[in-house]
Amino acid sequence: MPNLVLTLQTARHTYAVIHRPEVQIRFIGGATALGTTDSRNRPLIKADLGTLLDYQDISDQGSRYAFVVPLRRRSVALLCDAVSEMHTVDEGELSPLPPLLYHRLPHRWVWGVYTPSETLILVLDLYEIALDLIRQTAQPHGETA
Amino acid sequence: MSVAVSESNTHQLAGTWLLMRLSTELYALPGPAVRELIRYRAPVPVPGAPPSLPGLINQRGAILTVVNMHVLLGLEQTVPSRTSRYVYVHHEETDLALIADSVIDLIDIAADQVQALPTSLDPVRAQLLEAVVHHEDQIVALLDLDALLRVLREAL
Repeated sequence: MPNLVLTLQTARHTYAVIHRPEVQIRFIGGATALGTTDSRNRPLIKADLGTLLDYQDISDQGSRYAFVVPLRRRSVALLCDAVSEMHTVDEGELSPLPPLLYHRLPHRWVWGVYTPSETLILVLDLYEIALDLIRQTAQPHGETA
Repeated sequence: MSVAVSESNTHQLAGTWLLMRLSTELYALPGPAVRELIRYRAPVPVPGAPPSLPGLINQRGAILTVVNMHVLLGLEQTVPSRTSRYVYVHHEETDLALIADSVIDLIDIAADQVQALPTSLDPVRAQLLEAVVHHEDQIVALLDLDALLRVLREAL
């Protein structure tokens, strides 16, 4: 079954994500324009996707895009510089990470790879990234995502 | 002083090997495991991956995990140059692209050329090697692909 894939750009890299209708994509004039709550008035946590994945990947863009990932009690906005059009992708163009590498990673933020023609683009799992961010910012009295 | 290599192991090691240079040293990979030599290009880095696995490349649809042999062998890091190559190796259902500073040639190794590893060798390096041979007045270390996969699967 074909998947819908979006490619996104950070300052240094291009990544891909598999489209999920519940994840909103919002254009913003700056990080502050997002506010502190999501559309359901729940806390909204913001993070820059570029620096999360590569500490040297620092954006100087004033206008950004946000992937707003809804979790159980709050949402996480993951910021990037640009978002491409959606591509319909056949199964053969999406592959999980090679197991040798996957098992050596400290987190599950990269699901696999998207290989249009001879290129290779990492496919991110935005839910895993959002959940890890929530865990990192968890309150001492034990709030969960 | 060196550790003896058993006669059966010596015979297993005889055959065709791919000779390559890593930093200032010569290493060899078992020829039958080598699929292709690929001109070096920057791999796509994967966030959180250890330095020994600096990324991935797409080689005509095959997704290859890049291996930095310098890190694994404790060698001085080199800057990729026009002689740098990936050696595409397939072993135990795993596809790897090993970075070599240059690839020299295929060489035939006879059983009576195979010598044991020097006991003074750094154990981190020794665990990745089968034996050594002399080739044109230079020492060549024979890489052990089983050991390489074992080390790559463990946390460094």
